[in-house]
Amino acid sequence: MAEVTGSNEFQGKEESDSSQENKPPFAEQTGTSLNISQKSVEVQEKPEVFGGPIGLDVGTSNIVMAQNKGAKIGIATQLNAFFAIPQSKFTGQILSQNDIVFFEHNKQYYIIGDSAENFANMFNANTRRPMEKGFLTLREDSGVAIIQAIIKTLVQRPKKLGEIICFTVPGEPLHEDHKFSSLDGHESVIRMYLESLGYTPIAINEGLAVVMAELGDENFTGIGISIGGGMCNICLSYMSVPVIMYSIQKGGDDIDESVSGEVELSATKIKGIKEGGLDLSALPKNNVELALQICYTDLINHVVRSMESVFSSSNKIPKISQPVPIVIGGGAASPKGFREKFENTLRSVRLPFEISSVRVSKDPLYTTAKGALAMAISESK
Amino acid sequence: MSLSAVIFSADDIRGALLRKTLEKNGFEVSLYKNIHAAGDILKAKSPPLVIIDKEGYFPGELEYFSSLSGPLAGTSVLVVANSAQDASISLKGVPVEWCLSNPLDLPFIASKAKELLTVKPESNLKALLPATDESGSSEDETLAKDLMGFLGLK
Ligand SMILES: Nc1ncnc2c1ncn2[C@@H]1O[C@H](COP(=O)(O)OP(=O)(O)OP(=O)(O)O)[C@@H](O)[C@H]1O
Ligand SMILES: [Mg+2]
Repeated sequence: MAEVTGSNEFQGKEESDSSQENKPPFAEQTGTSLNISQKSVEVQEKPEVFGGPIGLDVGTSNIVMAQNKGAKIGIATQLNAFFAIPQSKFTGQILSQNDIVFFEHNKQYYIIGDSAENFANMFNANTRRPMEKGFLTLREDSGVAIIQAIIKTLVQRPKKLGEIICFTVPGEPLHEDHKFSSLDGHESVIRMYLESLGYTPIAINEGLAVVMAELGDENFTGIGISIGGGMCNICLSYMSVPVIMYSIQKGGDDIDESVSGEVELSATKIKGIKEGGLDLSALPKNNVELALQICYTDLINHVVRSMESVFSSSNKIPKISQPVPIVIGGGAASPKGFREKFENTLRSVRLPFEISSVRVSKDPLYTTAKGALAMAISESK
Repeated sequence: MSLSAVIFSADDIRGALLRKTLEKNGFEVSLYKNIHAAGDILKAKSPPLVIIDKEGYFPGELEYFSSLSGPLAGTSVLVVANSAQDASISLKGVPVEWCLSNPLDLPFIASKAKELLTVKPESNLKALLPATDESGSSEDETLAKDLMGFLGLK
């Protein structure tokens, strides 16, 4: 008689004292130690090994590791990118002497992570990526070896064998653009690698990770959205149970490429301008800003309309009598004015429940890793 | 009083929602998918409350559940179904209540579950009596029935 144990929901130890009998579940408090949103973040130059559970966000653009570091959360990041150069003794020496992160594979040197971008800039070339639109790509022959090497720069063997590591996975895409790489295949490659390092890996949906990181005070009930480089992930969670999860394979990278196609500047240049302080609430000062604003409007429209159609046609949603919050993380949600634009767009659609508020998370680039850490901590108890 | 319940749900999400809701309300919950294991589970756990989420179960599986009135004596049953008619499961001598399945009204289900365990004294009979045999014709069950009759409960 197999008992069903926790699926992907939060297993936090919560108080359930009977004095709360008549309170609606949303109003319940959760153990504050698990409420990760209040902790401040410390970004580490080099990942240190503290021991304890780990949250790992495996994103198309960035891989982010989060770990408890006393009262703070220690964060270490690496670009999910590489740059390949032919192998030779001489280059090998130069790379090693200059602290460049690389590994050998198939007679090539693969420079990985942040070093890859520096290298690409030096050669005026583009980096390549082992992932595309949220999933491992089959276009790169050595994709699996590369992503493993990048993860290895952030996650060492655990101090305690079997330590929990929670890693993010995307939701199933609404319209599948990726032809081969499936969610199951992607997930199992990451899982097997983390297992081989000595961890107990647990996958967490990326949208649910946003909920875990940000909606502790709301009893983990609400909509978590991550707007990343390769995709947007959306999850409706009820008391940490992921009721609906899906993804859209559009994100910050598509904005760079679309704008680049319009204004004759490289996508890398556009990315720089976009990250350098785009303000979606101000009038555009030039054609690049105008194009960026148009693309952002498109992306937000796309996400909001998908929510309307997915939520309205679902028969899975429980009766939700109180308005629920929306919280948005992911690097592409960073620009000033994003929240207002999202909120305004939301007014033009009908959802089967009311929304109480829309907010952008505190550290959008680290939100999903923090949520994965919250899950890892609760699974370790 | 410690509250406990066994939930049968064929759907992962609905099952998780039901479990989470009851846990938040102080219940100790066991969740199962396989309804054919119900006989053994009820014998082992003697839960005061069984919740059965009808959606996704085949008629044959529900028929099997209906045959369990013996082991279910003294247990309250809450059926989650689309209508009162849909919820009608014939369980001789077992109090059956129902809640709407679509949409799941979780706070309502939680309060119903509590009500079943706190208001209805027959749900506590199990605690007063020695564990019943699943044969349905044991002395214990007769005793339970007599006691219920005596208390004017059915
Ligand atoms: N300050 C900023 N303003 C605008 N965009 C930004 C900013 N910082 C980062 N981004 C964009 O955020 C994206 C990367 O975000 P993030 O690291 O959350 O994605 P990811 O998790 O790697 O990808 P995905 O979740 O899609 O698989 C890139 O498109 C990047 O250009
Ligand atoms: Mg991401």
